[in-house]
Amino acid sequence: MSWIKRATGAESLPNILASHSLNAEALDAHLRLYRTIMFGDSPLTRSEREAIAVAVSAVNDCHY
Amino acid sequence: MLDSLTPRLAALCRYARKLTLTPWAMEAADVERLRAHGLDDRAIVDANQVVSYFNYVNRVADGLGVELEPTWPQGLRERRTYGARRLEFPSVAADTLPWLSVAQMREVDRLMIEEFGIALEQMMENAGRSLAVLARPLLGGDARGRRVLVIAGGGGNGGGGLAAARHLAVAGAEVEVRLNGPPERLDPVPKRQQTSLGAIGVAARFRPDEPLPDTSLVIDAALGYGQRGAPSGETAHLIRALPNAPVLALDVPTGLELETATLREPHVRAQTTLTLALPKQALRAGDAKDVVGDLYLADISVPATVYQRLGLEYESPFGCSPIVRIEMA
Repeated sequence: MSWIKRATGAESLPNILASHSLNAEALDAHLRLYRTIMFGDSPLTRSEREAIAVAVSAVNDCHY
Repeated sequence: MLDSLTPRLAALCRYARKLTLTPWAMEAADVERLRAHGLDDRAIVDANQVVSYFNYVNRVADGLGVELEPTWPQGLRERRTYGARRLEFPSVAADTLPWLSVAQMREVDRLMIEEFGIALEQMMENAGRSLAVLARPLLGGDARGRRVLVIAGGGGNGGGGLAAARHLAVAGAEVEVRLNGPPERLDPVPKRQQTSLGAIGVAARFRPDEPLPDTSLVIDAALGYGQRGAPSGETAHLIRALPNAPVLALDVPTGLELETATLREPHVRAQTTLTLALPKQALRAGDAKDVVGDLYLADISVPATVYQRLGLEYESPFGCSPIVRIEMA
C-alpha cells in the first residue's frame, strides 16, 4: 500500500510499482530501466549491482 | 564496514555513497578512483546508473509512502528509520587532523580561558548544544517525547551534560539527570547549569539507591578527558546500572583513561562519542575503539592560533558544519 491509490489491474504488483501505476507509461519505462541496469549485460556482476543498491538505500535510510 | 569488501566493491560503494550524499561534490577524481580498480568506462556508466536508479526508486518509495508488502515481518514493516542517520554530518578523514595528548588539551583549555577570553561557561554551552544536536538523529530524528537519561559528574564534562539536558528538555524530550555526587559538590560553572536546568523543571538528582529508568538514549557526561583511575563510588554504580540503550558519550566514554590509554573497570561502552575541539590520541588506541563507537567532533571555537602555539599544524575541519564525523582509515 501507499498514500496513492493504485490503477485498476495493478493489484498484484509489488507496492513500489503499484504506487505509481496511475502513470502507466512511467511505470513501464521504470520497469524497463530497472531490468536493463540490474539484469542486463554489464561488466558489473549481479552481486556488485545489488551491493551498490544496498549502499544507496542504506545511506538514504529508505524503509522500503 | 567497507573494510570487509573486496577493494573493487569497496570503491564502488564509496562512489555510491558520495554520489548519494553529496552529489554536488563529485569530481573527476571520483571516476579515476574507479578506473584504478580496473573498471572501464562501460562499467562506470553501469555503476552510475545503478546508483542513480536507486536514488530514484528510494524517492518513489518515500515520497509516495510505499509500505512493505504483508509478507514481510510486522516489525520490519513498522520500522521507519534504520541506523543512526550518521551521514547527516559531513565527515573528515582521521589522518587529516592532529590528535591531541591530554596535556595538549589542557593547554588548549587554559589558553582559551586565560588568553582568548572564552569562558568555561561558553565552551560548556557549545559542548552541550552540540551534544543535543547529535542526540536528535540518535533519537530517530525528533527529540519530542523521547526519553533521555543523562549521567553527569560534577566537573566540566558533567556541566556539558547538564547543558545538553536543558537543550533536549526544551526541545520536548523527557529528560532525567542523575549526578554521581551530591549537588552541593558541583563545581561553580556546572552548578549554574544545574540551576538553569532546575528552573525549567528538570531536577538533576543524586539517588545512589534508586534504579535507573528505561530510556531511548543515555548521555554519558560523568567524567571527562582528565579522568584518572577506575571509576568509583556512585560513578561506578551508575555505569553498572545503565539501562540497555544506546550511549552517546561526551568527549570520552567514562572509564577510558586517556592519559595512559587504559580502559578501566567499569567503563561505559558508547555507540557514539562526541569529542571536543580535536580528537584525543587515546580515543583510537587499541581497546578504545570498541567503547568509543562512532567518533564525532564538535567545534568549541578554538582558533588556529591556539594550536599553532602548541606547534601543531591545523586547518579547521568545521568549514561545512560545527559537528563532523571522523572517518577512520
